[in-house]
Amino acid sequence: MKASMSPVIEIRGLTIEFNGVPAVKSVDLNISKGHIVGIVGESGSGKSTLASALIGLLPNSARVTSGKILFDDQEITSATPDVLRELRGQRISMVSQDTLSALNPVLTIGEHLIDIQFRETISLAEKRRRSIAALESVHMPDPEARMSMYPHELSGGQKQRVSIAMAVMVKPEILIADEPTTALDATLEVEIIALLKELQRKIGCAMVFVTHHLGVVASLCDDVVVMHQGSIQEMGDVRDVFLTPKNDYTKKLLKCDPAQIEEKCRHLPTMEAPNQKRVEDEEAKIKRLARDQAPILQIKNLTVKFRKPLGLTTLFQKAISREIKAVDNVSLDLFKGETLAIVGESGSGKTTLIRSIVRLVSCHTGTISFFGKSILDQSRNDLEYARNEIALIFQDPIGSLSPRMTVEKIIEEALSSEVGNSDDRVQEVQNLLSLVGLPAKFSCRYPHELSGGQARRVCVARALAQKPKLLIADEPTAGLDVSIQGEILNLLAEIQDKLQLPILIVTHNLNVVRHISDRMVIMLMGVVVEEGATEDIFSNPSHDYTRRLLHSNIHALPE
Amino acid sequence: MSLDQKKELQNFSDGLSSKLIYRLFRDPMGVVGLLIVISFLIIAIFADFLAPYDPSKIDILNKLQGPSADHLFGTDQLGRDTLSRLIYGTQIALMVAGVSIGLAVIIGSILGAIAGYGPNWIDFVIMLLFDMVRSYPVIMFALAVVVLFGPSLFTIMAIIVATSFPTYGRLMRTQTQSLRQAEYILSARALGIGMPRILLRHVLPNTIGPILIVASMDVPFVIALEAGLSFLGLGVRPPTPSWGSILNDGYTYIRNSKWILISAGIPLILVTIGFTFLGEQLRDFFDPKIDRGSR
Repeated sequence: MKASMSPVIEIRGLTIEFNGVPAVKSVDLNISKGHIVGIVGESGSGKSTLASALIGLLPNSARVTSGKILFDDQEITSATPDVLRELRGQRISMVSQDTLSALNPVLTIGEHLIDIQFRETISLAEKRRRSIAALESVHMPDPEARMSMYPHELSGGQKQRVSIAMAVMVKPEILIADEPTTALDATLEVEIIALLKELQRKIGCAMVFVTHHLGVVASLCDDVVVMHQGSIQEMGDVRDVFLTPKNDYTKKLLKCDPAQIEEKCRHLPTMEAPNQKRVEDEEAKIKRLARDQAPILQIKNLTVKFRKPLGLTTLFQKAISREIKAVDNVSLDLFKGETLAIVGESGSGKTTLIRSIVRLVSCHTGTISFFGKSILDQSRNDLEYARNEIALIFQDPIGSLSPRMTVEKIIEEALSSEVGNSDDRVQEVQNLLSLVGLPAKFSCRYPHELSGGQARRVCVARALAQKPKLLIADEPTAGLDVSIQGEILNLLAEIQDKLQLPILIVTHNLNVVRHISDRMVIMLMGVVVEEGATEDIFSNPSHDYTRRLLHSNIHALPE
Repeated sequence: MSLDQKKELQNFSDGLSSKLIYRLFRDPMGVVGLLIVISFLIIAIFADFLAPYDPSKIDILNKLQGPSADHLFGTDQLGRDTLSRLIYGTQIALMVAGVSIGLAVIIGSILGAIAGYGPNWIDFVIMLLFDMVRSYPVIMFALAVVVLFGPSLFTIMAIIVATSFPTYGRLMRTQTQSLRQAEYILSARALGIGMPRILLRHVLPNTIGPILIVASMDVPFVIALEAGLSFLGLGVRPPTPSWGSILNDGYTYIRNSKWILISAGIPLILVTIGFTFLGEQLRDFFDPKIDRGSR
């Protein structure tokens, strides 16, 4: 970092503990005026704790045991609530991670924006004018009309734009962004990052950007701080750190980024084995993919419609216009031992498509056949049978585990009733846990006691307990850092090699798709726009949207 | 799995169950609640041995006396020992509260869960039932039932169940509806698990907390309702002692002696405190996220 620049925030020997366990260990950091500092690290590395300490929003269980944070000679860790309130929303502001819950559902966008100007002594009309200008500055289409809309009427990307508008409107000296793009898909992520960069230039504020996405740091930040287990491993100019990392940990972390691996790997490197990358040889691949057989899952012309709820305004519309086609005339085949990726932005109907395969949503037209038998017109018992043979791994790993059941009970429930003896069932659960690489003692834990990666493993174990003939995974790596992402994907690949299981993966992470999938399907607004072998699509995309999608994939290294 | 792995697991689960009991006893509030409820249960069960006098023995010469060594809580307008009447009244109070609230919770929860989880038409029918029952004024409803079946303890309990189950039902329905789209419910459905099992194993444990709180706070309300009905002559017939009828006597003779009202109020307050503390503690007990053992 350049010494000539005067720092906005100085952190000196900061240590933060949770119940006696240090989360941040004696961190020294200067954030210079007008710089964008990226904080990267695995989950649990203390990067979010550090970011919330900057704005004085540490949870109650956290205690600052030593060190200080100086913001313009004002100590933040020991500041009174009144002092902090003066800083927040005036000189320091924050963009949060969760776009869905960051806005109050009963207030309009306009009310949100006008409300945060409560300190200003200007007329309401003036506040309104400023709010519209703020929406314009975040490139919101038709800002005047958006003012009277409620959060649920906006898309995820638009909501994030509103939160950014709120954070930036007060012209802060420092902007803290805690994983602001994690919930967004690739195309939106690029737009939001470009927007943040543009606004930061305009205001000239310093920015702290917390993320586990290495590519985002490379393309956005000036400086980077690599954190591991609460302490800083390496910091410096983003080009120096990314191109010539000095610290071992940084080297390993960079090696784990699938975006940086040129060749297509069946096994991705992880933090434990950073040099492990295995390219599958042609022979094994041909053996795994038995294309000559009939497809295991065959979807033909599937259409799923949702009806808008009947309200006063929809009452007068025609029945047809009240329907939304979530999935529109989709056909696809899945063969034995194959991994098929469904790629598309949020709202493109990916999740609806896979949920219709297990009939969690009902379909309107088309057929889905599984081992040649139609799923859609089966009677109830047959359906339960089909559901048992198709295992679904949900997007939210902790949320998809019943919160008041132990891991053992959760997995046991999915075992078929054929394993009768209770000892056998316990044994089987233990086998499954060791298969997914979890120690036996995890069987007594509750879902909230698991980390994201561990919960994901439990979900995989539960899916395998069903002895499935088809595995469907909805965003299996969402919210995971690169190393754990690699572990989960390697686990799926191992299971596929062992059981010749066909896997259907839904994701918007193109870096992952490139390595693990054999074929891919690209969806846009419920329609399949392109389908083919992964390598072909990456090297030679034919549809405009595919090209845009591939183009928006963030570069792994700084320019 | 090797033998010592199994042993480790066994130790771990032993540790867990003792941890649960430990958790319940760690909080002083839980201990107080549990002690109060248990002592009232003991009083109710052993009323015959604990009561110093026959609760209906009339001693007209010693009527409306204050507390003394002979009569700890004094006597009522007929010279009956208030303490003995309260002790026997405990039986009725706990039976009315326990049985009727228990039944109301069970019926309400089942109907509410089905309404919240099932298809729209079932929801509609069950909600219609709830609203219909709620729309009757309790006292008018009670009068009608008593006219039909005659006044008795059983009638009182039936009336309380019939008028209070929609409260639990509505609570359960709202809770279930908010869980319906939770991913763990969807994943249970994707496993091919049927509706009864999903409701019992996945929905119920996650909705029981608020129900327990409402139920424990309903205990004094139900006892007061029984008192009110008895006052109207629709409930427990004299001379059977019930807290409600003692309270009413106290109210009537408050100009002559304040002791009847005071001494009948004490157990009612204690029971309320006991059940509320216990209910609160039970809610935490059923929630694995609140782990006091680690603190």
